[in-house]
Amino acid sequence: MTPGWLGQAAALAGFATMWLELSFSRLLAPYFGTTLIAWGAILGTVILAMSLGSALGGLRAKKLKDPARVFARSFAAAGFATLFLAYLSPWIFAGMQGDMRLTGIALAFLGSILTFQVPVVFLATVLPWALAQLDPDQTPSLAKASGRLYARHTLGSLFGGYLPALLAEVQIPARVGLGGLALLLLAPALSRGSRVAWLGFPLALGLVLLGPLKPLPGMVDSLESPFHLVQVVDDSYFERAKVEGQSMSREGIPARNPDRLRRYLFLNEGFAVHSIYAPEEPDAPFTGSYHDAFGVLPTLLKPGSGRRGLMLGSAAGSIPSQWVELFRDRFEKVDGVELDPGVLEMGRRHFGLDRDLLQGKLELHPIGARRYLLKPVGPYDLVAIDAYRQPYIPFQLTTQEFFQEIQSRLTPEGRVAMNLVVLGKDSELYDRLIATLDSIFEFVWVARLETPNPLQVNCLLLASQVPLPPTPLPHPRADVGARAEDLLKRLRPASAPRAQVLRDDLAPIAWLSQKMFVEATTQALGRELQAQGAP
Amino acid sequence: MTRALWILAAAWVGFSFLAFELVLAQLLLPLFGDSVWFWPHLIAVFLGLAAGTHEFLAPRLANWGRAGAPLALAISGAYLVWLGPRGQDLGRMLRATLGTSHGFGLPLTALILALPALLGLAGFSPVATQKLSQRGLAPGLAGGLLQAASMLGSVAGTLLPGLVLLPLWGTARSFEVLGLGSLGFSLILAAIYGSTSVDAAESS
Repeated sequence: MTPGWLGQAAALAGFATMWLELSFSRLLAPYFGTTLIAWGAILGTVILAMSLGSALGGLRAKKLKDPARVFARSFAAAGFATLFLAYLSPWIFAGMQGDMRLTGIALAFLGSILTFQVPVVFLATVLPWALAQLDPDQTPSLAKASGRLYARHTLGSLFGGYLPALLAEVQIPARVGLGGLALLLLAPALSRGSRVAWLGFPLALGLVLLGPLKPLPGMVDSLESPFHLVQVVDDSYFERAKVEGQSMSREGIPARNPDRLRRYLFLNEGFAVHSIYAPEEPDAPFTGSYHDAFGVLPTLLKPGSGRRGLMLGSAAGSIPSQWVELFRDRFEKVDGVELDPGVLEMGRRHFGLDRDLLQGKLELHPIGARRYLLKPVGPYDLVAIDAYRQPYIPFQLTTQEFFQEIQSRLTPEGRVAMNLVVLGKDSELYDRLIATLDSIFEFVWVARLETPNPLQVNCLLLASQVPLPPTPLPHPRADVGARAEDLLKRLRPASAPRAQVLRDDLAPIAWLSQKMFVEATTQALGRELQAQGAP
Repeated sequence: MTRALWILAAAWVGFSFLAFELVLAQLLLPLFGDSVWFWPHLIAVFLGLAAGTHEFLAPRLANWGRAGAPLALAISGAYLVWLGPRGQDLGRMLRATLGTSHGFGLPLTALILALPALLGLAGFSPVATQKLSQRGLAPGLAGGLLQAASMLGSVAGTLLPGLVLLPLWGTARSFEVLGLGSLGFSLILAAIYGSTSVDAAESS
């Protein structure tokens, strides 16, 4: 085997390993989400698998009689393992997700991820075997030769990191991409005339025919975007999910007339409903969720203002659509900013974002919030933020620097509102976010919006340099006025003088959120045990 | 003793490499915002620099004899300690100069901020492979062991920044901690590896 071949083998191993790593995250997301823990577990287990493969390869490394055959077999084994896992992933994840006890979830999570590392172990044996083919007596500089092999492996990884992102950008499903990768891994065996390797073709082609990554009851549409598995369901989902033993409950969403059109947007594991569309309800565009409180915020602006609104994290457009529909005469323009273009695509297909009523008033921007604020935009009279990458708010959207950027794009009497999910009574996350807003704005208020889940409260945080009006602005619709009155009554001044301000340099949102979940769950369990132990 | 030290140092390098990538991402995300290209660009910068270092710098470092690897780690560590309190300002300055685009400004800013640290970290493995081979280990075994150690370090490097470093200390002090660790390893390697007996053992 020539050094050129060795370099190609090292590059293919690096390329495939990185592709697999990024694809795992897309396959796992519909079941376990994209939390820091999920990413840490994926990265950790991939690296462990690479470590195991490297150690095995290193221990068994020797001069091979027919190295090309051994390498081809190793790649073919990785290719077939990739194909089988691409087929089996929904069954593996769904089966393991079934046990909803905490230990069950943790074990299922680890088991799922470890199952996926089989091809990575095969691929990781390649580099030490390639190094073993270098003859110290005939290689003038081992550092140079081994450095070259490491470099090829790393360059392969570099391209393996870009390609899944490129495929996701053009909405090619992750499992179809894995089929292509498997064929690439089978190529060395095919070039050596292996008959078994030909089996890979029908298996890879079969992946194109597979349905959505995670079928849901009542599903209307589904697509794999660059960031999420985006799914739209109708109202029958909640009853059918309960019957089929799935975890999603109707938290925060009151039952309505099932004969009227209602659509819900889920991302990945379906931890939360991100958008609701209920155009046939008598009180439309209200949906019965916390969105409605944000929908009437324009009534708290100064009379005559309210010409421009900005929604950061617009999802499929529930809140900005309400602003345009209810305050069409006041708003010149509303900008909706959403990181995920797939979510906006679903908004156009199923949430009426293309309807005539919104034309010319609502402009959608498929871009991240901080990137949007780097542009010369504004000034805005009202900015609302509802950006969750479940179960956390992205840390960069909670910091003092972020709110400074927002303030610089507000009119002097403009207001900024933010949705914060709080579990339990006391939360450091809540205190620190209030302290951060307080460090920028003269006035900070909070309205606690209860949900049917006794543990969970949606907090509407509102901040401004000017006080609240004594009464909301009048509105031709009586129900809008009533909701605005209710919101105004709920808004209470908020401060947390001892809490530490969140900064770009130090904003441990994931850690604070996990702490809040653990504390709330522990308190709830304690209460449950106490109730059971009571005579 | 020195063999174990090389392997331990490889684990530290693996840890630092991944931890530095995650901490740098935490620095850049607020400055440039998120996009589908954020992580591929960052990974590409790190892997591209590592590949370049493996190809061009590592052989030269190996030729520097006993000073090469400790010096590379020392430069990397000193830079990270220097970067700590200046990272945010430097990032903002580069963003203002290079632009905010994710096709040009982001990868170039990441490249400039990562370059000095990664040259030292990525140059380590090939040099270590040569040193261990000179001490009687087959290249495949030496490479496999170092790779395994480095990857085990990387596992910690993926978990500790999110769970400990960033929540407790934020980006600035995390850079400093990583830098001080590399400086420490470079001093230990220089002290032990620089002794005459080890040199004599290697030359024989």
